[in-house]
Amino acid sequence: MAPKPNLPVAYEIKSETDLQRVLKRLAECFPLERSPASVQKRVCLDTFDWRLHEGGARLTASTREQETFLRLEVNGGRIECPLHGPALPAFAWDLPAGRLHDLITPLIDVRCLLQLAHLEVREQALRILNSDQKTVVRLTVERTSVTMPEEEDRPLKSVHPMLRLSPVTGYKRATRAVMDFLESELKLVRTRPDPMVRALAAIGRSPGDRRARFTFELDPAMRCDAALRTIHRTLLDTMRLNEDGVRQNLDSEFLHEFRVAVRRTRAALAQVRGVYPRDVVAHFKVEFKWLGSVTGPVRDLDVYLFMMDDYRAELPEALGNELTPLHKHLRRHHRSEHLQLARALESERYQALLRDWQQFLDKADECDPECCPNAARPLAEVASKRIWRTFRGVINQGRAITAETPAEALHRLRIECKKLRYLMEFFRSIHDPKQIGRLIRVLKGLQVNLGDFNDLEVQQGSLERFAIEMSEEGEAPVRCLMAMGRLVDHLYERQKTERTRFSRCFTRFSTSANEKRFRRLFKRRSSRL
Amino acid sequence: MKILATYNIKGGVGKTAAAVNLAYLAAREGARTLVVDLDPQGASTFYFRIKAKRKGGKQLIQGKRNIHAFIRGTDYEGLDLLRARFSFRNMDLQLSDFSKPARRLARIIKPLAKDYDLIFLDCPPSISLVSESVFVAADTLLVPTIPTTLSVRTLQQLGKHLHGGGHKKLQVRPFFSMVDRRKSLHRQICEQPGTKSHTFMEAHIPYASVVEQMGIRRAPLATYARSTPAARAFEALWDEIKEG
Ligand SMILES: Nc1ncnc2c1ncn2[C@@H]1O[C@H](COP(=O)(O)OP(=O)(O)OP(=O)(O)O)[C@@H](O)[C@H]1O
Ligand SMILES: [Mg+2]
Repeated sequence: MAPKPNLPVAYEIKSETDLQRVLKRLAECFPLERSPASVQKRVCLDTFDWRLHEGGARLTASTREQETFLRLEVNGGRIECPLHGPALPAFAWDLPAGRLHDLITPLIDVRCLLQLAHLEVREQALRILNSDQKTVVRLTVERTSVTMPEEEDRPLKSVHPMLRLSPVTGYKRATRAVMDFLESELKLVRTRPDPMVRALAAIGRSPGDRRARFTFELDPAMRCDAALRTIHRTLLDTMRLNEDGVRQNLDSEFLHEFRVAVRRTRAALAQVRGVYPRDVVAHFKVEFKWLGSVTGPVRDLDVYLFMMDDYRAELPEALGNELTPLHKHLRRHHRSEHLQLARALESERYQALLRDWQQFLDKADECDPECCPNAARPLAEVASKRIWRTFRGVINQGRAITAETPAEALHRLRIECKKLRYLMEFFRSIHDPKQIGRLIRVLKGLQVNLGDFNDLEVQQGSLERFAIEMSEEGEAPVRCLMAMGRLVDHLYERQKTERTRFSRCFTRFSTSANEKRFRRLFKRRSSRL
Repeated sequence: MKILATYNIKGGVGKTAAAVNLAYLAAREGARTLVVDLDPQGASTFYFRIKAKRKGGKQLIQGKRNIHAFIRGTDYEGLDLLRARFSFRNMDLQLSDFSKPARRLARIIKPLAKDYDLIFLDCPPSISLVSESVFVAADTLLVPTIPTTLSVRTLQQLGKHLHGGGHKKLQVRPFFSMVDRRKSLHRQICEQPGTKSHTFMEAHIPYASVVEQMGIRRAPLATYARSTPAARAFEALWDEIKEG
């Protein structure tokens, strides 16, 4: 049996004076050697959704003696590896081969490594020695200041100093003695040995904060207009947070999250009626629809670029290799579409949209009950009624679908389900989390089927469109077109299968037990009107 | 896990210096590295400021104690040491108690595969059951060779021995050690080693007093003389070893 890894322990120290006292006492009681402090600028790297952090790892890049190093800290261990140039790696495949690469790759997958913050770390290594001047306990004093990337000229924010203790294998007794001293004598309290999270908290970042949040903390009794504004404000924050990543085209996830926030904004505008003034709704509906449409093409291309591997795998090997011209085509168009998107984000129209929207949301005055009959009503009432109505709509539309019904009806049902899903997620916090979670799961099952059916159709159409574009641009080798044709056939077959699965999926959703659950959760409330 | 052994039939050629310095460079790059000091004299143990113990060799060979209990962390992160025991001088005898004595060492080390990326075996000189065990356990034999006619002959003998002994998978990589550029013989042999059966690595380790100072500093060269030619030579050697 292998011994447990020697995990480091960290102590937070409240002030510089306290730190000096601690160091003085340590030096009095142990043979302590101090190395000169070194100041290092470090860039914290993680993916958009903090995958390294979630995997218990932290990655920083620093430069010393003109060489750039990556440092990965994971499982209490530390791995450093020099880079071959000043450019920081963006993707797993940019990392130099070795253990660092092998540990990071499964964690980040295809996600891009982004610069989360710039740290300035003053680090001083202290070592407790035995009579051979051999290190038996390693201590590190870390004083960290932090700035956001691209705001390096702003003043740094500093974080409380930290004392980190790293045991040395085979010197348990010494480790125990030092820990006892720090904890019993000096009354130091252990903290998370993760200065990155603490440093990022100082600039207002936290794990997963770039994700469009689907949990809105609402109160069933609150006014409907206040609730809707809370929802919209959260979504607007998400757009703002992701905007820069979209502009720079760092990782497709930024655009994805951005678009999700736009879609949800639109859904909340359209689905919760009679809360905002009518002219406001009409204006912003148009504007957000525009924003959705200018961000669409890049997202589509992102998706197809991701699909390329699947497409190749779906074809016999020889034919799969013929898809390269398609891949090139997508990449080229992605570049030009992204340029257009970036331009749209610079436009006056976009700037005005965000500015006006923020202004409207921040306006403290309540919506006038004359023009907004639902504004002052309690949230629970209005929300439940909307959800119940939408649910009924889904059930009725679904029941009308038979094997002969044209595909249009399935698409309409898909959109109806989406509305229902958004509504349930908006108002999730005012319902029993277990019950609503369960209902959302059942709905998801149906949505997957409808979504796949639709995706497969869209993909066929897109591939045909790409084929035409490629021919027009004179870059369509016959074998590539053949391969694409084969793909369209495959997709068509799969779409047919999804179609046959529909009735089973719908039946599972429309059981009387499920209907009862919806009724219990949403109907009773609205009948109290 | 890759196992590298520094070995030569001859003593005092720079085996320990190579094991300690290369292991340090490997760990600095992030490889989880272990030095196993098989020499009862405990030179590498001494360099890492760790006390060699008298007893315990038998328990290690017989597997009576968890191998991790023999390991100490060094002053450097990611670099550990399985420290020497004076009783390693009886290792031949202890190994011969096993039915396949030459395979015993490999078996003892095997469980460390999940904890280390690299293991350096620092071997005592001479040919014995211990060195046979090292030939079985190691993937690569690094052979520091002083550029003299006699040393090159010893290397050829080693080559023959390994060939006859069926250690065909073992990669043998000699390199010149303690090279004194002022000596014309050294220069000459480095240019033309006069052996066809072995290719020497490009990197040479020069004869340098900073290497000798390891005995006083009790630390790897790169920690106190990083930019000296000798330290650079170990780096070049390490780069070449990694290239395979
Ligand atoms: N490149 C070098 N230049 C100068 N001195 C060296 C060099 N390499 C090793 N030495 C010195 O030569 C002596 C023997 O070196 P080392 O212990 O590395 O050899 P070894 O082959 O391991 O010896 P042994 O066979 O005794 O284990 C040591 O005192 C060491 O400091
Ligand atoms: Mg030696």
